Amino acid sequence: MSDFTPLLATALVGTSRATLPTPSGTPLSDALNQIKKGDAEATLLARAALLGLATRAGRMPEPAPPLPEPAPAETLPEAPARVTRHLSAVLNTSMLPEWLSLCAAAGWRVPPSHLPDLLDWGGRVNEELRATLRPVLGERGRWLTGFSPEWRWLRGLKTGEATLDEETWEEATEAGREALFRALRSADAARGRDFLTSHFKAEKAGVRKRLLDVLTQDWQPEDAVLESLLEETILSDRSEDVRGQARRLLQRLPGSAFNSRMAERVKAMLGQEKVGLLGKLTGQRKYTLSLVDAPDADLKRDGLEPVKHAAERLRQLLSATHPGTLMTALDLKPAELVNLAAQFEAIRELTLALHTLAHSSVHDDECAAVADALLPHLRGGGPSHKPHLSQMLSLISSRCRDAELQMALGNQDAEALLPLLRGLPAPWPRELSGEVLRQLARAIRKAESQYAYGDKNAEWTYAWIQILELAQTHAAPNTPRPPPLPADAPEYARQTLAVLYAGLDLRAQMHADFKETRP
Amino acid sequence: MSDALTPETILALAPDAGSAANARKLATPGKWPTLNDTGSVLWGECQGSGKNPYLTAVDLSGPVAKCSCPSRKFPCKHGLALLLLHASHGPDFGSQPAPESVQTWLAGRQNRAEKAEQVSEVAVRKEADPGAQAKRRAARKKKVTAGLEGLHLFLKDLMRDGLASASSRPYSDWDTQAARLMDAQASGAARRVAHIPELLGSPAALLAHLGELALLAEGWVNRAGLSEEELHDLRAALGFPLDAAGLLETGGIRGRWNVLGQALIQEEALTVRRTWLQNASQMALLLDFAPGGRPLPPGFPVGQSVEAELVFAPSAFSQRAVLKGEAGASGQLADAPPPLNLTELLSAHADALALNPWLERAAYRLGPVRVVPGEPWAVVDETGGSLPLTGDVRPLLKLLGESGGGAVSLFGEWDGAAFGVLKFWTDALGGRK
Repeated sequence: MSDFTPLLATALVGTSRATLPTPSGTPLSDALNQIKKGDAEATLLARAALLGLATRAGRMPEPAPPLPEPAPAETLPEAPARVTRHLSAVLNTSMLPEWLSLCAAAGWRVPPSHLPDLLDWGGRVNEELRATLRPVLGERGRWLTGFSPEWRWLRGLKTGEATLDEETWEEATEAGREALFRALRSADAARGRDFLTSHFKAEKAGVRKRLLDVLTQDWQPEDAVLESLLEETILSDRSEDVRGQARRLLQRLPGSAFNSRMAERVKAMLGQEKVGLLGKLTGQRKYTLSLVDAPDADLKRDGLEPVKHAAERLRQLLSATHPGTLMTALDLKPAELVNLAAQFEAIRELTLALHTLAHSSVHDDECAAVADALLPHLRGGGPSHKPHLSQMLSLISSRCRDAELQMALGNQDAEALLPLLRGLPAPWPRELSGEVLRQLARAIRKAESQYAYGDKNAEWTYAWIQILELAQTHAAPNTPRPPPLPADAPEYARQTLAVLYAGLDLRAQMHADFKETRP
Repeated sequence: MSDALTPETILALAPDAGSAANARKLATPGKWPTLNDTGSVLWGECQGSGKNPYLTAVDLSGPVAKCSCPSRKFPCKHGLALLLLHASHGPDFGSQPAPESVQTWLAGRQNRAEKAEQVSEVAVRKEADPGAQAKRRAARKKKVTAGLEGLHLFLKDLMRDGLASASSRPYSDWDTQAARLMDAQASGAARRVAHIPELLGSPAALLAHLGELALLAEGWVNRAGLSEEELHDLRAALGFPLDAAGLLETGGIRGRWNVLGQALIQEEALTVRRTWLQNASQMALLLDFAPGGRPLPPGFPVGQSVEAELVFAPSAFSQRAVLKGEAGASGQLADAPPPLNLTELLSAHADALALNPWLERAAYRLGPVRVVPGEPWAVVDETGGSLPLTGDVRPLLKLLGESGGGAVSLFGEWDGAAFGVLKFWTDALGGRK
């Protein structure tokens, strides 16, 4: 390099302004001095060529940067080839979570060569699906996430580590803190609650919202101890978003002070009309409503806007209170609560309250009974009630669901069938799976494409297409196939069914392989 | 022997990325009503978009595929999927004998070697008009001479004004000069000129690059003093095309070649594939080109060895080669010289540069080495030296995942600035040294 620097200096200003350096005493000085061309420019270029080549040829390795810590030893055995052979076929399909769950149930981890593809998939999907991936990554997988920013979502706690150091927390982004809290919670739920209590108020609104999101998605009965934190939040949090979220969490606690305040308000505004003998015999009740004049300091805290009419207030209250608390406080049976709601056009509000409780473990038989009782009202309620009907169909009791399923199958009613099937865990019973496949084959038999929605296609609606997608992952894999379509069935129909059956075959093979190789 | 085919190796045979992706999707038994393995041939039927399923067969000795689908890609996605399925679901294959059409194809393949020779003879005869050829050559020399004279003047001009002002020149200056060299049929020199704008930010690299260009121009003027091999290297660097037809008339090196790596580069409107083969200490580079959207010729099974005859282009440092006939009889990797550490790589590359100063890249096997993530990633050997890595990070993460930070051996290209990994082994070259 020592010869190159003066040569470069000349080259930078140009030979019109500088003279060529005369190298001496360096290994290449003799060779350079021998290069003399007709003009300075040509000489400079030729010497640059020599020095450039000498630099390239004389290059030495650089000192090594520090090596990363090697991956820790694995604690789980690697999944055998018999089952991992399916992995590339199910990668990036809706069947992957099932494979991952089977692998986790067997107590295996995935081979390292599949890790990058799986981590990429994990980066694209939601938290529920990521949860299927975490148990099978192994030490290698957790170690590997440290080397790509795109896999940060998985970074967090090491296995068996149930503490969070303040430094990691301070350095984490908003999403990072959410992931850390989630990891801590799944490692040690009690510690997670302690951590939340001590850190919640110091966080920014964005983080507070994310932390409550975690609670919303994964509510546990033990989270009842967080009530005082949530009460404080709805009283004093500066963000309306966060306050609303905290209220909905309190609503999930049947015994919370929040729910009792709400139930008290309902009780205070209700009166009963006298009913005749026939009414008494049939157990009918008729209610009157009146707005309570007494000042209620907690109205604003509990998210209740001022209203003009008593019925409006009742609707607010019904949508924001746990139906179980209401029934206890008013001494009502599920059907009676629904009748009360019906009398004051609050059916939708009641479905809303049930929906708030859905997807959390607090959804119990009592709520299911309310959902059962709501069905006839929603069904008679016209098209605007349709989305609520779907919501309730996924929440009803199992006894009621069986009856509804039979009815929906009998009526070949895809709109009703879809939410009912969504409420069922996978895999569906064999008999039901078989019936769904038969109905799918019947509905698709004349369909020429997914989109052409005409005379010939009339039966193949969007709801059926969604049922087909659901059946791909939820039907029992060894379900007997319905008889083949007639020979003149359109190409689209035959292909679509063939794809469905191929997917079911693959799942059946997958299950068989896991069963045979499982320790 | 086909048992050693891994999905990675199979997908390296794909003529383009689309075929590889589609083959993956097709590789599930549900889409194949029939699957059979006769020992030397796989065949099966795949439900395509038509009413009748496609009949697909793979001759494992190649591996070479044939399919009744209308695709012009070779091998098509069905052939690749059949190989993938065999790798993952081998025991599920039946053993029915192949149908007649497949038998006919197999018989035809056996006679093909003779046919290929006849075809090349015809091709040679077509070319033969010595008078016209000599005229064309003379015209080309004249054009190149003029083009390079212009280049040298341009370079001297740059030196007179100084490189400090080079970055303020309009881009059209470089483009015009590159276009002139293109017209002068010196595409290699044109490519190097087109590279100048990228180096404007680092004067040292720019000066070295300009020196190299000047060496091209002066080398051409003084070519009478070069040996025949050196002259070939200069011509290749300037962009004279390789006389592949002429090479194929001569005899090559027949033997078992390890297929160690394959690089696929998307240049504008052109796909270039570099395949590196190795036999004892000889490394061979095969180049394939496909204009935009067209498929490449079938690839080689990377990580395997093949029986093949290669003819090397004349050069002081033999590397570029062409394949004579067809490669076949794929099998396990054959013995190879031990891998190098980084100092040995640089020293081997220096020797190569001493023979051919225009050498753009050569390929080496390194080991035992570790990769270190960073900006850029680096390869580190056991003596504590390191060199930067280049290329997509994704395959490096896969490497890191499989090695867990442990030592690996790598095969890849060294271009004088950074090492591009093409293949890696966590054990010693598929189980052996």
